Amino acid sequence: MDTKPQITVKGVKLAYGDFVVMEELSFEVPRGSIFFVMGGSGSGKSTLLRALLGLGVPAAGSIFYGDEDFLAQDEVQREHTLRRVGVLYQGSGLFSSMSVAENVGLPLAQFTHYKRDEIQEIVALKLALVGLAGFEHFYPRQLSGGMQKRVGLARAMALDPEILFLDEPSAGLDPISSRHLDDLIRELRESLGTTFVMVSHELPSILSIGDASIFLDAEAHTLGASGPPKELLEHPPNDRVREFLTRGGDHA
Amino acid sequence: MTATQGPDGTVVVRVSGEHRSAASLRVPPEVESAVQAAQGRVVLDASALDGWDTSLLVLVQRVVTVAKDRKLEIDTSSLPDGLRRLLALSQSVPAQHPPAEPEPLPFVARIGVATLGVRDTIVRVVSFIGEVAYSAKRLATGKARLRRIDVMTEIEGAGVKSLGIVGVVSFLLGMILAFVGGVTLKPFGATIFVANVVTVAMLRELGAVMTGIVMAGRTGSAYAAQLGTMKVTQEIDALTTMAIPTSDFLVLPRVIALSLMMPLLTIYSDFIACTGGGLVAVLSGTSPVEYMKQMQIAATLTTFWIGIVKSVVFGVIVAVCGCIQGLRADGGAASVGNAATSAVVNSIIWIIAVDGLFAVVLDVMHI
Repeated sequence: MDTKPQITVKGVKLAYGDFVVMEELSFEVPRGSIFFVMGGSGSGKSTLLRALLGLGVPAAGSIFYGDEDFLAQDEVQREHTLRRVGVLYQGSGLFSSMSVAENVGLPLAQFTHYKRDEIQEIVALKLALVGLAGFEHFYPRQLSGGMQKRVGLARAMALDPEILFLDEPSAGLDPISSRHLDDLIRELRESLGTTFVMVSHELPSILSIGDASIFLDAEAHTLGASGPPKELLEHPPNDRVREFLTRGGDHA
Repeated sequence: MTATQGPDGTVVVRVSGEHRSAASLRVPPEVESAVQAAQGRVVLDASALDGWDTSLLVLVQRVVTVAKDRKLEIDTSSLPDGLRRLLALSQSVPAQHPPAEPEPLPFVARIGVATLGVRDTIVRVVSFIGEVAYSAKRLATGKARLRRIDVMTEIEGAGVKSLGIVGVVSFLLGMILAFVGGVTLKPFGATIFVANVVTVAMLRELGAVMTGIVMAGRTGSAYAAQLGTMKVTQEIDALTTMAIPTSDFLVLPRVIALSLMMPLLTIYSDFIACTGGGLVAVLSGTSPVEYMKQMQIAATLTTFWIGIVKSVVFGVIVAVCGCIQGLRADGGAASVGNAATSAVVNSIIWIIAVDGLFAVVLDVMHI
């Protein structure tokens, strides 16, 4: 298997005009890992995610997908790179005017040669994988928040992406659904070798399924720490990381 | 994917090679019929499989389903671990069945439902107007819950920012009226009466109507989209639970803004249109001084006031249609779009209808 990192970020600076959110961000996302981006509110987690997806341009630095310099790519090449990526947005980002089946089937209909009935088949399978078999004809507004998240995940993985970006996937989920989602993510990583990049505050899931992570330090405006979450909890490199991972106290 | 049948009736389904984004997701018919004919056991053999993705899972799942339906024993032990686990996952999840679609209603019942819908619409519109009237009363007694800054913002949006489009439309309209009037009146040697055509038509009817229609398209739709989005993102719910009436906080500033700005825009529109009409008339040979004199004769104060009164009414119509449609939105992006469309369509229909009503009433009153 390829051992090169899936994503390499070098010296990235995120800023809104003169307001610097983060600078000197450098880290690597190992292939096939479940990678967490942690950090307090306003530390630039979502901004970083947008930069990685090409939705926002970092003020400085470079981002590599494998060997390809993502920021130097032209539009066509970038589309090609993003084809290997699936995203679950914080608010699910489902198309409200389309049924669940149409939502999940859209990338398949656009980017594969599969016929309508074959797409139906894949859609049914992906929905079964996220535990929503039989919900094809529902519209997003008829589903609960947790179900919408799962449909979003099914859509994100419609094309069997190498990398799945999940922005706060367990926000708004009850602890049990959140646990199920963790199991599903681990299962998908084990069976398909998908790399997961997740923005999350959900400590239980960070500590149970994360194998690598970075901590964005909102006060220092740069990387506070990086490493496997469990190690960071055992040997926190600084107080802010310890506070984050122990919810503000030593007695978690 | 190939299948071979052993002497004891066991069928071995073999998948081999690189199996990514398979060209077809159809199980080959010979494989399917072999599994249909199998006795006892179906063995999935993936020993020669090099790579796979979920498209293979679709195929394998189909074979497994067929075999399960026939209550055959299935041996998946040679499948890659990951594939086996995903297979288990996709099969283990109990299918959650959505509630059944309601039966389509019989024809007569549908007429009934549609009729009740009309009644509901009337009730909703009337109670909305009632609410706004209450808000207006609270405004008069200084108890309305609204922010001055919101009123000012809406006034800016409906007033200053509309000058451009209203100006262009009115200027062109004035020119068209003068041109058509000139062509028609020329054979009678009455080209001077072009001034009457332009002035009376604009002041009495078209100034208010055209401004109303432009504002319906420009501002009414914006109101519907704003309020619709606020409904969808639960901002309206937030106001309700704070016990701030939406009719005070959201509707009133918009009604105030439009009913104040519409008369001003109409005056502006009248002026610009008369200028445009005059320009055409002068360019086709009428002397500017005579044209001005004829305009003074044509433009009576009554004509002017009729247009102004209408414009206030049209302003209220546009604001109310926009807000009522916006607040009706439910669900997603499409409902906001529908709200904006309905707001514009309803505003224009009501503007024309009320203008007709004005014409009849004024005729009866001999004004």
